[in-house]
Amino acid sequence: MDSFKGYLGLKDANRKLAEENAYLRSLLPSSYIMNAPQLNVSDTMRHQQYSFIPARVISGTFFRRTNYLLLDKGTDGGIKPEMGVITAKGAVGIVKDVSKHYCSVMSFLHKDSRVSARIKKNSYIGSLTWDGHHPLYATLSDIPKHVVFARGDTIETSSYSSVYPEGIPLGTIEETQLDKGGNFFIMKVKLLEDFQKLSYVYVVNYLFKEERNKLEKESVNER
Amino acid sequence: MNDKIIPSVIRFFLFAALQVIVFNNLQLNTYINIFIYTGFILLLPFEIQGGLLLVVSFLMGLLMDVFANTGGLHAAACTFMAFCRPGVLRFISPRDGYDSAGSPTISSMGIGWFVTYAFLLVFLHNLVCFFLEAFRLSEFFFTMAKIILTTFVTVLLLIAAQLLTGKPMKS
Repeated sequence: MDSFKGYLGLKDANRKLAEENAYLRSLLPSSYIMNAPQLNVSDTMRHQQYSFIPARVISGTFFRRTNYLLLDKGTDGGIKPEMGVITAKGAVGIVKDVSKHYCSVMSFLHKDSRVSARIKKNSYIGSLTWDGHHPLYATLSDIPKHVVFARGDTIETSSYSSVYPEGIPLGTIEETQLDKGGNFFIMKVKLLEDFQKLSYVYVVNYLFKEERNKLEKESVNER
Repeated sequence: MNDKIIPSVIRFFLFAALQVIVFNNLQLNTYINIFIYTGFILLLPFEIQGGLLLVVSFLMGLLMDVFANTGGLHAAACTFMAFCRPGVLRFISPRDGYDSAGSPTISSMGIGWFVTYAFLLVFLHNLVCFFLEAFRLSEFFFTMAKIILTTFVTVLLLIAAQLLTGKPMKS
């Protein structure tokens, strides 16, 4: 009887663990950035850069050309549009619409999704898209021809994105070929995250997002 | 006419429920997304024509959009399908014309006629639906493969459903 009760409690235990994970993740060094390198008035050396909100995937589609997920956290949980959604094994998507208790997420498995990704080994940056054929495979393009890599190398998120934190593993290189022009590789990437089995995810709250976007926009306008 | 309205209304909700409860959750693979609700527009009696046909089909599409979170995709495809229905009916009309009191079912029109009819209209529906969803021609062959496979499976299911539930076939 006791073991049976333990089984029923798994869901609750899972939720607690997810919350704990989100907290721990926010303590990770990669969630912080160094404050001004010179020692000055600031009494803390590091600022928190990301905080994470745990959420559960309630429903979703995977085989359309445009797929969406529904999460069980909304404005009450501190979620805002355009926040990123991740797991330990991949970039899941971007929050699109938010209600009081729920939010809908434009899945990475979407015709318009694009994630800035890099090869972990040598930091060359390309963009990861979904070609619509299978929910486990994505396409990495824009890696120049001279880059050396091997099959099975890990792809992770780059620092170019203001949606996803840097360095989240996304997948491994499965097959490569040159694109039509012959100067860039097109790689088939096997994703680490099986979207059909998603349950707990983390919504990324990038605390400096507005500042970063504003600055990036200003410098673009100048050009 | 009146004895056709009630079955049609029932069929409207039956097909809508079937799509929302079963087929929207039946995720097979990226090539086959069955839109069984097209059966409702296929099986509407011959008498329903013109504006009424378009409006009823549009409502069906709108309902599907609400449940699938697609802003107008199904409504557009359904309205297009309804728009094409009179033309398709004329194109494949039997030698002695249609019995205006009849309906386009296997039991009254025969299986060969129904297969052509269903295949053409479901194909047109899927054509609009999948191309609007992808909204690009760079994936033309992938989209076409999806359309053709989905059409085959949908028509097969519609035939099976009618053979299992409908009246015995006209010999």
